[in-house]
Amino acid sequence: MTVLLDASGLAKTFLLHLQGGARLEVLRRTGITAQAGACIALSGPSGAGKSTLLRALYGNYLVDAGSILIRHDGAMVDIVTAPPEQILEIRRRTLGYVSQFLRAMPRVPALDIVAAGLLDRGAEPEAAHEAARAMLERLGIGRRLQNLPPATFSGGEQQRVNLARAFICDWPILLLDEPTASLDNANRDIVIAMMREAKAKGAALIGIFHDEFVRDAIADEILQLEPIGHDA
Amino acid sequence: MNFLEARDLCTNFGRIRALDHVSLGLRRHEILAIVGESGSGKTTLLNTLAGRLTPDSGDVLFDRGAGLAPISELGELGLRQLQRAQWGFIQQDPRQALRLDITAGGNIGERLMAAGNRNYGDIRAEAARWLAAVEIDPARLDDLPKFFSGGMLQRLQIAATLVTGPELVFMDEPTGGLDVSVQARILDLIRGLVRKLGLAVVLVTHDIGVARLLADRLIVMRHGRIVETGLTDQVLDDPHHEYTQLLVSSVLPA
Repeated sequence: MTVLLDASGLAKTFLLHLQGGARLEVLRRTGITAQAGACIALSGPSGAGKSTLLRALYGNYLVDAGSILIRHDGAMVDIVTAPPEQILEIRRRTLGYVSQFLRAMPRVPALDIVAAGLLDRGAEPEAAHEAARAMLERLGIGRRLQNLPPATFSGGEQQRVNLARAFICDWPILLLDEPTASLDNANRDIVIAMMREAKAKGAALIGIFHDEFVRDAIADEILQLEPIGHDA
Repeated sequence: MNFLEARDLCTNFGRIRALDHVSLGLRRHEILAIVGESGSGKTTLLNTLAGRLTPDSGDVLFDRGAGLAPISELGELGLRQLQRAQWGFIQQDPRQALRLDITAGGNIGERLMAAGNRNYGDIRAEAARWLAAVEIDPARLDDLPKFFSGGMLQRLQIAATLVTGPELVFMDEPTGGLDVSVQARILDLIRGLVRKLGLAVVLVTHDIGVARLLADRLIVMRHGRIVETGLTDQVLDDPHHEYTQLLVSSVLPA
């Protein structure tokens, strides 16, 4: 099996200056190894550090210790020490992320938001828009909505635009934070199918899935996280 | 590889330390936002990088194709050429950058003529093309900007700046002072043009939302010093410095 992501010894403590310098230790000696074609579900109670770990793997949170090796262009790159431009390049082609919420851009239609990932990778505009249309339609976003900016869409519609934006590209590694949170069952099943297709193409998936049905359907492995106990 | 660099810039205004040992680098096609409150030194830094202010000490270096060299060695004429041809500067108040008593087309054409273009027909066609690119009806080519709205003036300034094909553009609060709906349009326009033209940008803003939307990388300034720097989303989502945490937590959620 090919290891696409290998993180070890991760530590993360938030220092909250505005709350009197309170320290919140969330990760301690945490590690995760993701293989091609498999999905790891992060599990554990609220506060166990699932989202923190996922964000750290994306380079969105800085860890205090440890390494996060990502297979990028055939070599393992440590995202903890990589310069910003390399992290952006890794995010453009290797490491995808589905957040819980769409960060809507003013005035940009759903179709363009979804096509952006392909355009960033050098696709022809026409082909990118055609693929974006097909992806949005698969997720039940019809033509009329496709041409509107999603700022006024419902939560579920926004989330489907968000999913379309992520799944339009073939990511070697895909991080998912509650991808099915605000979806009905029919759309949830479509997203499960998309995740299975990504796995079949050799992607490594790491996700937070509170919905047990989704977790059972997609996860090959569970990584159990626990809140770090604090001595009084 | 940086093509713009600041090395240890220091500037005092009387007893106020506007720049306190500031160093940074910018790569081609990279968008860097400088955020901070009024008086943090961000505009002084921008003006110093753009060669509009001379620092008390330290150097600004730019690569014109033969490696990084201090812009202070260019001389006044060389610097002016650089500012006119390879650089652009977009000010917060377009009225200060534009000539309101000559036509919209004239404002754009003037920059082309300064860059050496002499063919009237070409200049006019190019000006019309750029008006359309910033979503101003080309039929207004011969209108005077003094009859334009604030948002239109800002778009005209963007056209007049980009028409000469700069590779590096400095922007000072490009959406400051505009209505929110107009801001969104300008931001979207800047975002699209920057991407399409592959520009490098140094952007000063006090608006964290603007920085998040446009910038690859972020610098947070306070009291003339860089207190934090990194990938935009990393600095905003996981701010480390006390001042950055205060800045981020002071934003009203939309």
